[in-house]
Amino acid sequence: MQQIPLTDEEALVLLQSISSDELESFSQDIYDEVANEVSLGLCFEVHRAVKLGFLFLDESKEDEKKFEIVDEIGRDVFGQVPMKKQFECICPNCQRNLAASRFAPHLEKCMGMGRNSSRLASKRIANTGKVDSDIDDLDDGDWNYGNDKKSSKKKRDKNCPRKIKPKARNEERKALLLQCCGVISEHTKKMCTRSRRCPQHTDEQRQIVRLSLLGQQITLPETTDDIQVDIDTYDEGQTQLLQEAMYRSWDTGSSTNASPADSGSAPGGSISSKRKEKRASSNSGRSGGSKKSKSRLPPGGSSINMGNHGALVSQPHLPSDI
Amino acid sequence: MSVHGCAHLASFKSAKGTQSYRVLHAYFIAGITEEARKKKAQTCFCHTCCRHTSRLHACLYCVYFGCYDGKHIREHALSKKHNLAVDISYGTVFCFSCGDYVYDKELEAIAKRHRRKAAKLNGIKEQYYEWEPTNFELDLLRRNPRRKRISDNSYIGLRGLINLGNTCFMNCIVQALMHTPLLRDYFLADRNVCHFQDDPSMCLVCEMSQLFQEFYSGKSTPHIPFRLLHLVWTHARHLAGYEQQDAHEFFIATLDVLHRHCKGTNGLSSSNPHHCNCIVDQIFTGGLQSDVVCQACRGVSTTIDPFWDISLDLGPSLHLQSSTSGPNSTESMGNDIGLNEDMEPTSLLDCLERFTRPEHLGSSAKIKCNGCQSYQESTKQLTMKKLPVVASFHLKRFEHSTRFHKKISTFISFPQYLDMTPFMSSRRGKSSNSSRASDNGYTNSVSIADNKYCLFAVVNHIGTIETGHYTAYIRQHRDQWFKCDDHLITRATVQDVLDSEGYLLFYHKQILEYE
Repeated sequence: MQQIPLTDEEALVLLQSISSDELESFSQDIYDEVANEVSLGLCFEVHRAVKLGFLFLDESKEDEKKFEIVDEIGRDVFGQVPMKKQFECICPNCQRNLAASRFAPHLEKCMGMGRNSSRLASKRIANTGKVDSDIDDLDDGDWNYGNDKKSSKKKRDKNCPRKIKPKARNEERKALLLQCCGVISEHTKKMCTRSRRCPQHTDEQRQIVRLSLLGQQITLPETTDDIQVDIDTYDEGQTQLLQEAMYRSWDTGSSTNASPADSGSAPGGSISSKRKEKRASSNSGRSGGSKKSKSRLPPGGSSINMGNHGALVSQPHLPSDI
Repeated sequence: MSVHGCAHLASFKSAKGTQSYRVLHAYFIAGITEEARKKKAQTCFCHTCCRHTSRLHACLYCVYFGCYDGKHIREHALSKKHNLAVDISYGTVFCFSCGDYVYDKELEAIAKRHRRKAAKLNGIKEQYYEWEPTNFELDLLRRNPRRKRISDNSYIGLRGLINLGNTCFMNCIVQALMHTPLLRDYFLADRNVCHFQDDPSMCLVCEMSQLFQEFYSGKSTPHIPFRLLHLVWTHARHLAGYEQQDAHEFFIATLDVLHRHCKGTNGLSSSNPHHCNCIVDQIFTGGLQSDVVCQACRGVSTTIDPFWDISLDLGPSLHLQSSTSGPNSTESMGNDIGLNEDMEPTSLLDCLERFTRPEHLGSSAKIKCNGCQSYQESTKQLTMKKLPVVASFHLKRFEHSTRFHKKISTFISFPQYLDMTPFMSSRRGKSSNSSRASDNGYTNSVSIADNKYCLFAVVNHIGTIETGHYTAYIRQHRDQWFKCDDHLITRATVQDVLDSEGYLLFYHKQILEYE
């Protein structure tokens, strides 16, 4: 049958003259044609996939049932019963193995960011990571459009170095060494802050320290003249100053520019209020607590440990620490 | 094993080129112009038996159409030694010497070009082609035959996260990001190339990529995101510290670090967010238009700022509501609709409405108008110029103003499907009546679909302003919802999600367009 193109009018006339049976057979023809063409298309797709080698590429031999979601009450979607299993991880900073749920507080100290973080860590950061931390702080200023208060507070902290004149330093040292043992511990490299009669160290050791630091023979006054440090009446502020002074006198080579971590640990109460203000100025809520409610530290401030380590352990954390 | 055709086709091409294929395809197979289509309709039938429905083929050597079923094309091929013919329906080349259809890269490219032209004639802008592996990928896939089929009932893609000590705010944001469809597809399809200029183990984007691998690994034990925490604390120092934090702040900080790392540590480009095309910008960045209208000369000053999320006020409106029905009240949003603009909002739409409402900047805040060069009172209006693919909404439930120091726990209802059309810049200036009514002013039905969003993640806060706990609801497999409470992942119903308080809401555009 020749295909002769019809005008719309001719087509209409033709259609009107067709019987319903013929119409039926014509529509069936059209349907067959379309169906055949579509099937052919599918055949070509499959044929091409086979020929080019990627037809069954997504077939899996793995058992799908293994990964089915579980819908039981009392179990999670993996079918497990929620248990308080201890998970462990390795700190990327110090490579130590520790419990996962204590990782955040550890990392805070390890990176030298907490108030009570080890002096060593903050020194470490001050000496090696100072450049990085500076840049980071600047970047944070970029997007902190709403929170200028916060960043300016931080900047203020950074710019408060404690400058001490060399002469005064010597005087301080002398005064300190009169009061405390002063022997530098082998493994922590810190000065002993116990009294001059501390049982852990000998007088000889104490003598050596004084020699190397003050460069002269000091005869230790007799024990009866010792200035006893009464632990129970010793208050926190003094301890802080003492620690600072000792570190300054010990580490003669370091710069006096306090790193952000150092200066953050200003005496006693001012940190907490600074931090509280910092939080208040931003329009956000604080949360993220785990369900445990014990605090790690003994409550109250009287149990000051005057041992070898420099970090204070008695300062209670802020109430939000759950 | 690839698209190189066969030796016979190759020698034909070197002798006669691709001209005959091109012409045949353009006219009789694709029909790339009106005229071509007419010709196709008129002349496509077998020269021997005149049928047109029997798998017609066109000879590549000469002008001959023959049907396959009636074996006429075969006869022609044998008698004339013309061994190559093209199927008229789909343009595939049949080689009689090989006895099979063969696929040639060059000819397929021609065919693709023609099909695109023909589609344009029909008003189809871009055609969809399924992914096909390259030779390299094919080889890789064959050497690694294990596959993970992610059926509707599979838990692959879900994973718990261990709380590292007050880090539930981080866990929730990670869950939301892991279930952002476009982000997931980007990383799982291996489209990320690391641009980080320092130590690659410190790149947050790479860590994110690794996280997706962890979520889709099929492991059922919760993941411990200690590396992520370390990276975030290193790159966003202001967030560092073991204390409870705000999930919204973390979300913005994370996007910021990802954005920076995507482009490497290039100082210049980071100050010009408009010109970035990293995945974070493609998905999350929208444009917020701010129009200030001078009350004296009616001059409009427009600025467009990029945004990653919209923070919405919840408390009672601080402005004096001059809800007059006077002549100049495009501001008063139709009292006949019954909107309580003096009261607190109760739904996300209320919040958005308030956000995009023109507000009169009082007489104490006169600005200098460039039009009339004087200090005048003005009105300011915020509207959406460009919507991001993922629209994030932050309900400001924590007030730290002088009056409030509490959490606003009022229930704000939010829909599963959100149409942002009424809040677009293009609707600015039209009164709320027409934007609420269903059909007025909609010129093109396609543009309505462009602004439709679908909820896929909700982050909730339980507790007070000082302390609390975050959980998240995420959507997987199109319509299944799951509750993520640190390491505990359980199924949830969509009603659970919609009944929850809502602090951060994440919506994904329903229809994505080609650029």
